[in-house]
Order: sequence, then C-alpha cells, then structure tokens
Amino acid sequence: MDVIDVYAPMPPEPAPPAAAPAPRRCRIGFMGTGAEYFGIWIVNLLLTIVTIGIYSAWAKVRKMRYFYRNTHLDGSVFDYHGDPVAILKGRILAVLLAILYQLSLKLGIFAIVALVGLIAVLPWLLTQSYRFRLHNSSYRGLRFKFSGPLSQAYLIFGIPMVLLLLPGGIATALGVAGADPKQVDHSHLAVFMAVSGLCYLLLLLSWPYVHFAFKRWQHGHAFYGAARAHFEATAGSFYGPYLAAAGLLLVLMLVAGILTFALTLGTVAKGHPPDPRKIWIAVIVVGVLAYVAAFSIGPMVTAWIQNAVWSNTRVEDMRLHSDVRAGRLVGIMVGNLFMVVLSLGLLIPFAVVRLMKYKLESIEVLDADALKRFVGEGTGARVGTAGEGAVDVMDLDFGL
Amino acid sequence: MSAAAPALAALFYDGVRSQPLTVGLLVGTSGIDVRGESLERGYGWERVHMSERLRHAPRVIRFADGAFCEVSDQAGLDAALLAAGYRDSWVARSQRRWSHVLVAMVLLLATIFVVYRWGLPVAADFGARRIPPNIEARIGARAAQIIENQFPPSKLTGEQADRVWRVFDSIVPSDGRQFRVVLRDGGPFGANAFALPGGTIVVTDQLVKLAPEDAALAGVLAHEIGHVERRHVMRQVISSTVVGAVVTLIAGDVSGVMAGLPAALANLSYSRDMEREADAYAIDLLKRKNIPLEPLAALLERLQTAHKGEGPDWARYLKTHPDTADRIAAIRAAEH
Repeated sequence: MDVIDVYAPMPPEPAPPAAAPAPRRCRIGFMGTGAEYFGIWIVNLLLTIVTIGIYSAWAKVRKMRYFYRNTHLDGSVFDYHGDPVAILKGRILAVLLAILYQLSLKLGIFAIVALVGLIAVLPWLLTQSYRFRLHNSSYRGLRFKFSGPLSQAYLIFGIPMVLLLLPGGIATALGVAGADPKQVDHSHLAVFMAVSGLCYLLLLLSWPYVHFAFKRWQHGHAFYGAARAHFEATAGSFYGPYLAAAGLLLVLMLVAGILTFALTLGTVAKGHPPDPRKIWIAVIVVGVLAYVAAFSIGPMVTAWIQNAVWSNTRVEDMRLHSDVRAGRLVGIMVGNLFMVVLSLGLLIPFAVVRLMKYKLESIEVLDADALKRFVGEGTGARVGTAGEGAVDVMDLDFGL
Repeated sequence: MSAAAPALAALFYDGVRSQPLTVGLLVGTSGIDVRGESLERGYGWERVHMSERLRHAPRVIRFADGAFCEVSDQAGLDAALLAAGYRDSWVARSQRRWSHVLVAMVLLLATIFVVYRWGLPVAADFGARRIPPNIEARIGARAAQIIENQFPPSKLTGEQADRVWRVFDSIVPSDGRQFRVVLRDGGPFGANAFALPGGTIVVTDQLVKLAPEDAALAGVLAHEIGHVERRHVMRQVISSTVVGAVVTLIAGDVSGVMAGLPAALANLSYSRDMEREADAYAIDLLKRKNIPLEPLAALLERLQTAHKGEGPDWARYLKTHPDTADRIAAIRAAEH
C-alpha cells in the first residue's frame, strides 16, 4: 500500500488527468507531539485538582481541541466545538448518578433498583455522549452528526447487560448469594448454575455480534455535513478476529498446560516428589504466557476490528481504508505500558500521543478529491450534553 | 487598516461547503479582513474567535457568520496578533512555556502529597462521623453475614468462649453502641481478629488459644474496639473512593487496569496509620482499666512468630499492619 501524505498547508491542485485518473488517496496525519501534550496535561491536572474537579470540563475541551486540531487530512484540520459549561453540567449529573448508584449498592437495600436503573439510564447516556461528540466535531467547517435511534441503543446495550447481571439477580432472589454452601437448597443451586451458565454462554457467543451491532449503529447513523455515512461490514468480519483471539488463547493455555505437566505433574505421577526448582520454572513460564496473552491479544483484536470497521465505512461514495498492523499495535501498547509504569505515570501524555498518532495515521481516504465536494446542512439542532460528561466519569468511553 | 502589513496566507471555508479557498488575511487593530479571488469580507474583533496557539497545528480563526480560516504561518500570525494587541489566555500561555509547566508539575505533586497526607484523613474522619449509625450498622450487618458464612463455626469449649465474653464485658465502653463479639475457626487465616463497621468484632479460635492471659485477650479486643470507635472501615471506604477517583483522573487516559495498583498501595499506608491509632486507643483503654500492657506485647511477639514466613520484611508498603516490632516497642514504651 503506498502512502501519499505530506502535510502541506495548501492542497496541491491535482494534475490534469491523462487517461483513466486513479482517485487520489490521502492518509490522515497527526502532527501533535508528546512533549506539547505534556504541558497541556499537567496544567489540566493541576487546575482540575485545585478546583476540586470543576475545571475538568475545560480540561476536556482543551485536550479534545489539541487532538482534533493536530489531526489533518488533505491539508485541513479537524476541530472540536464542545462547550465546557455543557460538559460540566453533564459531569455533575454523572457524579450524582454514580454516588446514588454506589450508595444503593453498598447499602444493599436498593441493589435491584440500582441495577435496573443503571440498565435504563446507560444506553441513553451513551447515545447522548456519542451525539454530543459528533455534533461538536467538524472538518472544513462542516459538522458531523449522529442520528442513531435510542431504541437500538437499548437493544445493543440492554441485552448484554441483562445477561451479565441476571445470574446475580437470580442468586439474590433464590437466597444463594453469600449463604453457607451447606445450607443452600440444592434445587435452587441447580437453577442458579443452569441460568448463569446459559447467560454467560450466550453472552460469550453473541459478544462479537454485539460489538458489530454497536459499530453499525455508531457508523451507520453518522453524517458529515449533509452526507450520510454507511457501514458495510458484516457480522462475520467481527467473529473472525474474536475467534482468532480465542484460538490464540487456547494455544497459549495448551502450551502452559503441557509445560506445567511436563515439568511437575509428570514426576508426581511416577511417585516422586516434584522438584521445587521445576515448579518455579513452571510458575514463571505460566506467568509470562499469561502476560503475553493479556497484553497481546487485546491490541490484536483492536487492530483487526478497527480495520474491519473503517475499511467498510463510506461517506456517500467516498470510501475509507484502515491498515493497522496488529504486531505494531501490540508493540506500541507494550512499550507504552513500560513507559508509563517506569516513569510512575509521568510519561502518560507521550504514551497517549504515540498510540493516537498510530491509530489515526492508519486511516486513509481513498478519494481525496471527494473531500471538497461535501456541503453542510446549516447549523444543526441543539444537542443534550448530559451523556458526554457522564460517560467520561464512569470511564466507559468506547473510543471511536 | 495599514496597507503596509503583508497579507497572511490562509485557507478559508465558508461553513457551508467543504471546498477550501486560498485567501490572504489582513490583521489589524479593528479586526480581520479576508481577501481572496472573488471574496472580500471584513470582521470586527467582536465577530472573531481566535483559537489558542498550538506548536504545530494551524491556528483556527472562527468568524461569527460560521466561516473560518486555518492559518499555518504561525510566526506571521503571532507577529500580526502582537501588533494588534491580542493575547492568548494565561492558561494557554502557561501550557506552552516549559518553566510554567515545570512549576505546575511541582505544584501538582505538592498538592497531591498534602491532600493525601493531611487533607484526606481529616476529611474522611469528618465524613465518617456524619454517616448515620443505622446506615453503618446496615453495612456492617451485611459484612458480618458474609464473614459468618465464610468461616467455619468456632470449636472452642463453652468455658473458653465464656472467658472471651467475660473479658470483653470488663472493657467494653458503654456509649450506647451495640458491640458484638463473634467467635470463628480461623482456618487458613490462623490467629486473627478484625472489626466490622457497626460494632461486630470477629475473633478466631487460634487467637484465643494464643492469648491464655486475660490481659492479652483484653488488649486484642481493645484494639478492635478502637477500630470500631474510630470508624476505621468507613474512613477507609471514603478515602479509597477519593484516591480511586484521583488515580482514575490521572491514569484513566491510558488504562483502567493500571489505575488500580497505585490506589491499592496508597490505601495500605492509610491502613497502617489506622493500626497505630487502634493501638493507641487500646493502650489508653487498658490503662484506664488498670490492665497491664506487657501481656499484649508478648502476644504480638508470639503472633509475629506464628505468622513468620508470610512475606519478606522489606515489603513495608505492601503490609496493612505496621512493623510488629515497632508496635511492640510502642506498647512497651507506653507501660512506663
């Protein structure tokens, strides 16, 4: 794949077409640096802590503007228009909701009410958040827009949440939770085991589809100006990465199991006591494999899914392409981890910029000249802001 | 507007179409003029919104009619804005200046340290005192139920159990709080005792056997009463929530998984402070009841031997209890 992108302040006029003009491809670029973001990050943190969190809304706007304005495509940059006061209101609402939720859980009185409330509120918050973000994003003066229906959000988020929380609810209802195992009614225990097993199995099997439905909802209802985005990925393109990840995990577990057996259990079976040194080697090997799994499989799935999502998104006729390399992403994530841990968190801004730059610069527009032909809709309707702050505080940001 | 000032190259967007237009900008004291092919617009400063300066990104100038410009000639625009008397906000200027960023970093670390060391314990204590007793009791009751289910019932004889009740009754303060002692078999946890919010104190069989002297048993119970009286569990809940929130704020950018560890370490340090406070409470209570302190110190020594091999001594920040040797020394010092 050839990369054509140099940041130029003025887009060069395309040369007059000779024969069949191949569309000009253009890659997204990011010109921000970790050092510059470090200054913004430190000042943001100081002011946020000194103002007991109030400044966090302004901090968020400064951070978003930094990332948007440093992202360029065909000579123009993106921009963020979020209003700090609106974000502050959202955050206050979110903090109140979180306190209410925590209190009712810790007290154990309204646990069920709190969970049902959470399931009822969260899809709305996520919808609002995504709407707010897109409506406040612009490129070349045209705003993005999101029209995803709330009803779909309830299906996409609500069903997995119910599957996740149902076993706990059943346990409470049957009196299985926290009770002495010897005193529990066996039929109740059997019902609980059957229901929770079924729930988790369904959750596991449907997770790639849920992820697919979520992205279809996000990308399929997005607009750039008056132009509609279309999402053409299939559920299969989500099952592929997840199945590959599951296969990889299985192989790693198998290797760990065989090694452990070879090193320790084999000798035990023959009646010899296991050599403590061999046990240590087995423990270290299993530990290393567990870390390899934890830090490599996640980024790999992220890479494959990002490629599937962006390569199958088009804005009207303008197609996009993403070529994140899984190995490179794993390298960046592991490198970032070391960087952040060894610097006790001080290098976080450098880590964030490195990751963001790589992910953004993996995306390409396949027909850059189409970028000039979009039109806006005029100023859109006002958007509620509650969600944006709320999702931030609850740390549920799915990322784009 | 001075005609001598050179026009700045910029890209102009009308806010309706995504087509960029190449224009020249004239920045003056009264406003900004936009000059391009078949385009001529003038905006007074009150209709201009200047974005903050970034190091590499082009500067965005928004106009009240929805149009805007992107200027890549940073130096040229800086000079023009300086001449026109425009300045970025102090926050934006501080973010760019290394000396200011350094000062901000030092201030940030100092603020976090001061709040963590002195502010948060006081605030948590203040908050814990204002939690209504019935709510604390409710939380405690739930915790007690879980503990009672997890630990097997006590295997002590009636006589041994009676001794615990007797010693407890002799020191328990009568301040209206509902104290309750629960005896359990410690199993793998061995000799141990802990206090739950609301006033439930759990003591394991192994600990009772390790404390044949009533004075030592009284010391252990007094220590746990201290935890209850000083509302240590509720304080821990409050401070861990705040520490968690701040750590999430700082590290949330990167990963939620990593955020958990420093918060957990930070809380252990509070928990050591609380152990010292409970010791001080126990010393005070025993002295008032004329109970000798030495048996408690001796018991702690035996506990130290019983728990030997649970981890290296250097891991002070990983331990919930202060160094046992320090505690024994403090108790012995209080006796004289």
